Amino acid sequence: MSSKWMKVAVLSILLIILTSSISGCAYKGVDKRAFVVGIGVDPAKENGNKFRVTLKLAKPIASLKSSTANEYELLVHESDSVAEAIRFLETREDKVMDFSQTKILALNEDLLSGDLFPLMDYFVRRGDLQLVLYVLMAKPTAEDVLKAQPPLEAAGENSLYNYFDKTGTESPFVTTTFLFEFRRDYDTKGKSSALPIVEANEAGTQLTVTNSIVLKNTVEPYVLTPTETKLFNTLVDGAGGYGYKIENAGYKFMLTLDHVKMKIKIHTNDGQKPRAEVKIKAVGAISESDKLLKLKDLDHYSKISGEQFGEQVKNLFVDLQEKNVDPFGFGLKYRSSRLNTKDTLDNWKAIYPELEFDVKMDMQLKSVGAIE
Amino acid sequence: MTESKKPEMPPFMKSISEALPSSFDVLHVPLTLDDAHVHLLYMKTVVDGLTLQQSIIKPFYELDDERKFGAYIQGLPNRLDPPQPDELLIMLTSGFVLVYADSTYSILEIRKLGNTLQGPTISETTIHGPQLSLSEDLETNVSIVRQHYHQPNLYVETHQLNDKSNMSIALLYDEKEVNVDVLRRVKEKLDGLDEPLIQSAGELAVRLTSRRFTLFPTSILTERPDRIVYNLTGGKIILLVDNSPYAIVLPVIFFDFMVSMEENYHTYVISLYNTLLGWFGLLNCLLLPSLYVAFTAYSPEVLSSELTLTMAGSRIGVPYPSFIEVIIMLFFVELLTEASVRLPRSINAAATTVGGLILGTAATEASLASNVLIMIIAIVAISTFVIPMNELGFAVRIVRLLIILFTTLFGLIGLISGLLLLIVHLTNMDSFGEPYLRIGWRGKRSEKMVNSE
Repeated sequence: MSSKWMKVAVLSILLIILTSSISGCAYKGVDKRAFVVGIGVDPAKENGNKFRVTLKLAKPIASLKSSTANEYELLVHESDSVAEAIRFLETREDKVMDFSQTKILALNEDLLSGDLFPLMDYFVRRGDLQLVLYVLMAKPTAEDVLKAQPPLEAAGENSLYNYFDKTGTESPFVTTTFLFEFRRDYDTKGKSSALPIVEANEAGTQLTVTNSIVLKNTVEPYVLTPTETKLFNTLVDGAGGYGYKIENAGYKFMLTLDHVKMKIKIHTNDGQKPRAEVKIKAVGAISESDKLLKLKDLDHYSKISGEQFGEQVKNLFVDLQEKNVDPFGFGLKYRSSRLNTKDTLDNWKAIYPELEFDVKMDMQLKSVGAIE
Repeated sequence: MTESKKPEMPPFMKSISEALPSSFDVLHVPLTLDDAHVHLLYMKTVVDGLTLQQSIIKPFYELDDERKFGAYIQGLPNRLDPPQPDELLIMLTSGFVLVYADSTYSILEIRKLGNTLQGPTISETTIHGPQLSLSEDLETNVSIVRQHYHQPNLYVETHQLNDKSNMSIALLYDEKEVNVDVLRRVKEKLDGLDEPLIQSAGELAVRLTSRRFTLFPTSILTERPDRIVYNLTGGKIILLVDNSPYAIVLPVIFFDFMVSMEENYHTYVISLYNTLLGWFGLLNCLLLPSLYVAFTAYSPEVLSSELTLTMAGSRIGVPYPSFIEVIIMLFFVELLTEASVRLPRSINAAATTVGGLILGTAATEASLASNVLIMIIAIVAISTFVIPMNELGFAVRIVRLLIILFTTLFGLIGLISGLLLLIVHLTNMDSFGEPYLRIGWRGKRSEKMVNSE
């Protein structure tokens, strides 16, 4: 045997030994993993503990056609911290818990007042939890929301995902907030985070997402009404939809908006009251009316609906201002457009309660929705 | 002399004749008419009898004079002076006739041509474009190329291999386009060949590469005259081998293997689409099995949750890890592919159908493989044949096993590093001095244009 062959042989034996010692640590077959699709956190029922953690595990489906309904398993444990509870829950399942597919983090309403950082810490820190999971507020409890199984939910899908990832419904009532977004807005000075409120009915067969809740660690949470939620989503995400009610000048309209854009500018000139100039451009059509509409009067309709829409938006701004929350990020806008000094934040805190909103609407209706 | 039944063989011819083996096809034919004596020595099985009859024997009896006949022989276009005896012997075995007339020796090429029939293309079929491949005869093949490429710059150099077959080969190149360095290297390689027996173009192509253990081919084997001409205009060298319907194209770069001649016969968009399909097939064939291993064993988070659950569900009951599953099923498919190549054409369709369909269904029924994997393996098996040159297809079939090995050990990172190693290997390779991964930035138009510098 020549020395060259000797070298090759030694090298390959070494390689085999080395590689076999490396392997095995991460190799875990997909059928040996239990996929967690949702995490729910409630306040503990028993005394002494802080949290009641619910994990929703999906059961793999052997054949999608023959299985009729989804099969999930719910594991519940109460503990002092989320991390500890999850460690205990891992012992209840023979398979490895895989959090990489987790997309739902349901939080109970009672947990949302006060400082949320200690609660959020675990979820943000854990490496295999993706930061793009959807955070929501659950009503009545997180456990109930995770347990709910709408009849339309087909095998292999998760109806909670469909609400938020825009593959299913695209309603302007649904606020979508990712974990990273939630934490960022919560932490940012001059902005508040908003979470969707998911409500399960008592029978556990229906989920409703119409409201949102605005959170900031320093103030009380403020629950938006469905109409406010809709306006908030429309302005922030530019998402349109059906059902913007307009009552003005004797007309009653329902508008369908396709496209909405908002621009904020904050004026703090000396001697004047601070003023936020909000320019909104909305494009849409009239979808319902109580009177016969004429196409040639479209500009008139645009004007009157613009006035009313602007009024609604302004009311929302004022409402939020009174509650001292700021999900639109006026404060962030102020901070980002001023030279940053140590007083910037304090200035803003003084300005915000007195801020005047000047809403400039540009409503462009394209059609009266019917042929004359 | 006239009395003797068989005239005496002239001495030189006699010595040659004695050096030849006494097989049945070695013929010594004396022609005698009155005073005229002519001797022919040839091998019956390699000489075209009809041409011999027409051009030598018939004129002899018509001319009726040894001197005139000698002059006639001298004037034949296929006549040569006899070379050294050992060279002469080789010439006799390849279809030359030794003629002794008018006290001079001549050697005439009256070769019985081999298989001059152009068969239909088999390994590189196209829908449009020429349907006939090369023949198995060298001269016919050279004439086919000449007929496709009417350029005075087309040089044809013949060469004889020094092995037992003594096969003739022809070196074709466009003198204006060819890279002189590459040409020199190829000629050096041809002269330096040290093989006991070379029988086909494929074998010659393998022997021409300097590395012994090499996976990727450094030359293209083609049976298509249009590909030969396409490559000639691009400055490549073509080697034609006698008795082989394949031509060797040198030097090549990796991207040459991804060109199907069909692309030249379609509109731009369609051929672009076909090219992309080819690349997609290559990537599929290379990566899909490894991706399956990576997703099922290491990184299920990459896929959407529905797909992950479906994959997990389809693996329920499969009794071994996914990489073993993949290797077993790939092995089945390789067997099927090989079997369909070996089997006679009339039954190979049946064999693949039976093998593919029944094995696949049975494997999932017995839960020895997951449904998802069966689909992946089917896609991979089909993708292998989308790669235009099947030499590359063979290489890819082996490389993907290595990538599966890497993925099994290190997951998605392993897949990426395996791919990286592959690229490093390809970068390190060269084909007769030409970097293997060189990207030909020239457009198709300028590639086809014959422009002298």
